[in-house]
Amino acid sequence: MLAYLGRRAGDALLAVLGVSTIAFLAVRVSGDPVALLITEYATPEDIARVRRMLGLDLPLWQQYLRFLADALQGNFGESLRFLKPAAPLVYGALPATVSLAAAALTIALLVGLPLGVVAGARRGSLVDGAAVAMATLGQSIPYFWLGILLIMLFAVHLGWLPAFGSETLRHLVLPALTLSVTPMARIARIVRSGMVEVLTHDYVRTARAKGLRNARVLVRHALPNVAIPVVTILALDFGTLLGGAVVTETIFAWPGVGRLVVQAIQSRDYPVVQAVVFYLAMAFVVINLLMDLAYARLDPRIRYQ
Amino acid sequence: MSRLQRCVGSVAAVLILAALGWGPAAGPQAQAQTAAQRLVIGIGSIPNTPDPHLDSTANALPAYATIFEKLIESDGRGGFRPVLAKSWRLVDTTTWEFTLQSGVRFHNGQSLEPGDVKFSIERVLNPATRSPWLGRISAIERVDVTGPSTFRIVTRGPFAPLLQGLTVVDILPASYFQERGPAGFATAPVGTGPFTFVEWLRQDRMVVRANAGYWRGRPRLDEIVFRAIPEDATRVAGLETGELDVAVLVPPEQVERLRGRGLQLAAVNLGQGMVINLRSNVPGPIADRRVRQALNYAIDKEAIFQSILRGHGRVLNGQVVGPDAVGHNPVLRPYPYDVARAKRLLAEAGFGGGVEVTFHGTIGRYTKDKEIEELIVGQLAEVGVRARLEIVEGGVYIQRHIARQLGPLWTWAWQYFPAMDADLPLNFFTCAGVGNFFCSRDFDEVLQQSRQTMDAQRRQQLLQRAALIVREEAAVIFLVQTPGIYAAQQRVRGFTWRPDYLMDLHRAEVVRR
Repeated sequence: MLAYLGRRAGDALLAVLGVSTIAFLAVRVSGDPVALLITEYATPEDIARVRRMLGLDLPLWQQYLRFLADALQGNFGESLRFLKPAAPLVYGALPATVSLAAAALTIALLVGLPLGVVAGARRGSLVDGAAVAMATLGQSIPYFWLGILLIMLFAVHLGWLPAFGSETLRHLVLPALTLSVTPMARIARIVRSGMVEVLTHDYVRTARAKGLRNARVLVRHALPNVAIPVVTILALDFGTLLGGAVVTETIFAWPGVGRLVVQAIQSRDYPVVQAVVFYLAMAFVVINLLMDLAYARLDPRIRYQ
Repeated sequence: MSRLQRCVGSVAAVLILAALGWGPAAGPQAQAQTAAQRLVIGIGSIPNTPDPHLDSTANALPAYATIFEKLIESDGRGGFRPVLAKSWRLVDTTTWEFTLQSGVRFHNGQSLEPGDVKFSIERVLNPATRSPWLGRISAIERVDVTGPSTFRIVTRGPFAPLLQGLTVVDILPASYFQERGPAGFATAPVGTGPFTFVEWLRQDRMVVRANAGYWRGRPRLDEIVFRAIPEDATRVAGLETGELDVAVLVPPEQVERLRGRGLQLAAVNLGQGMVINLRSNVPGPIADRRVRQALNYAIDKEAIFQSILRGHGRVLNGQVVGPDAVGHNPVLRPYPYDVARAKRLLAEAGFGGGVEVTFHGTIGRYTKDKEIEELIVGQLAEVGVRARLEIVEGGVYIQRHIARQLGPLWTWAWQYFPAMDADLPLNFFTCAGVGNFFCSRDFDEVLQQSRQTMDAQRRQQLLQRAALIVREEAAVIFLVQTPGIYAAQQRVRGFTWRPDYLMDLHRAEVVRR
């Protein structure tokens, strides 16, 4: 177990290093960060001065070594836009995104799981048809369109919820709902197909033959065997969720990491982009590691050597 | 309980706790304060920092102007009016003497003194400050305090556009700033403006409260909240739900609908001339003046103004600034829409058989840019100019502009707010301008003269001559002065948005019935 953990931690480090390197290169290839610091009214001397100040006049490999050495100490340099160290900016915006993502996943689980179970158990029924249609729709609706639609309906027409902002729990509802639709649809689909498969197994027939109630058969015997793919999807969906958060946070004026990074990318604020990429890669790797370990809890047959 | 149930249970518990407990902190003052005279303004972004010397983005200007003041500001009619400077005069060609208003106090009680002006200008001039405004006043050599309320600004050589540079420098209290340091100042900024700082939450809001001791009289509003709402549709929705009192940059197509819902709508012509830049200083068809003129004749500016902007904004009079700017030439007229003439000019230039050009455009950078670009592509096609429209992502657009990698046709808006002075954009039409795309020795000479001519009237004439050359040479395709459409609840009175991007908030009020 310890050896396994060690190996996985090694892999994780490599993954984070790789992602950070790509981020480092990508922000430099895609645009000149100096363009942000100067207005369109800057002189060539202004530009050269800024370049020197940021160390952007050094050869790329020197910049890279400098970046790695600093990153190891949690130092990503100063945000070009906010003139503040980049890492604390990311921590500062993180809670808003975590709460949004957590609320969205909660909704996705609360709706997606039962929907998938019922659809799988009643395959071919009207409920199943509706669930499949909903899942397909849910996975193809753009966040942008859905977000605006929800605002128009629940904020403008019905007046039940605020249109934007992040002050209270009520402000969380619409963005969380918007962000939940894609993972909800994925969970419902995976659970449904898992149930369809599992319900043909012998142990299910045995359970039924014992005279157990249908609900008990589904929840006690069938559902645990569908858990592994659901957990996998949850871990993988973390990335999708962050992608969705970028759009959702912009629509709902939610002050999280998604909005921070999209503005940082637009303005070539490379220290912030690098810090966000680094921390998100870390989070992604850690979550996937945790999910791997959860497999062992979910399925006693899995042992880590 | 099964393993699964335990697992799902614990995951759900963690998620719910995270959702409940880690919600972003709302400012305590913002929630507690429900002042009677409270105005909530929805705008695309708020300042990146409460320190006004460090952010030059347009949307930051109105929020800063509630707390801080400058020496002078644009009067919106091609001149400047006093703010903290009561008067000014030219001592010799490189020396200006200013007299400060008397009885002005900073929010911390200190009196405004010439030393504060000296400190503020020197701070912007210091490269270590990293102020984006440095380039506007870099001609200043030094500031000398000459009396209890007077000071002199000395420039390196005659520099006529000095006044426009001073419209961007906020005056900060020197001793208070030095006591607290830049970081401390940014948490409790102090100015002389009609409102005092309450709180600033990054990417979220900035709150200011009435300054009872304001030297021009206490404002009517008790509190103003600037909310950062990047998405147009959300800003409009916030107005409809009543969460916002005012929303700025409303899309033109929403105007009639919002008016129908009982909101007040108004538009200002912002100090920003939208054009298609033409790269004429490299070989190719665009180097021929007749081709550039043909492009101007080929575009129906009225159609852009009427059908895309729905009558908001203003067609540019064959120059990059409007009548609200210093240096506007009142004699110039737009190139008329004349397809036959455009075709004739192209034939004369040897392009009767048509010509193909690259046209770089933007989406969402300027009001209705995509629609305007598509209309232009269609109208150019009618005279035989095939423009290949390529959209460039916003982050690299300015950079590629500076690196001369856009064009020969590319969408651009020449910003001249908050100074409202034609010198600002025209400076980029010189042979040596940053990202230069146009070169005329006559133009360079006239502009250079204008920059060294200290007589305001004579300078105005020179700038007007420079504008004439730009029109005759058809340096760009002149389009429109972009509109700033804004909407407000009926209860809001006395609020106006100005061409220099600042808002009149001093006399604004909220009327409750």
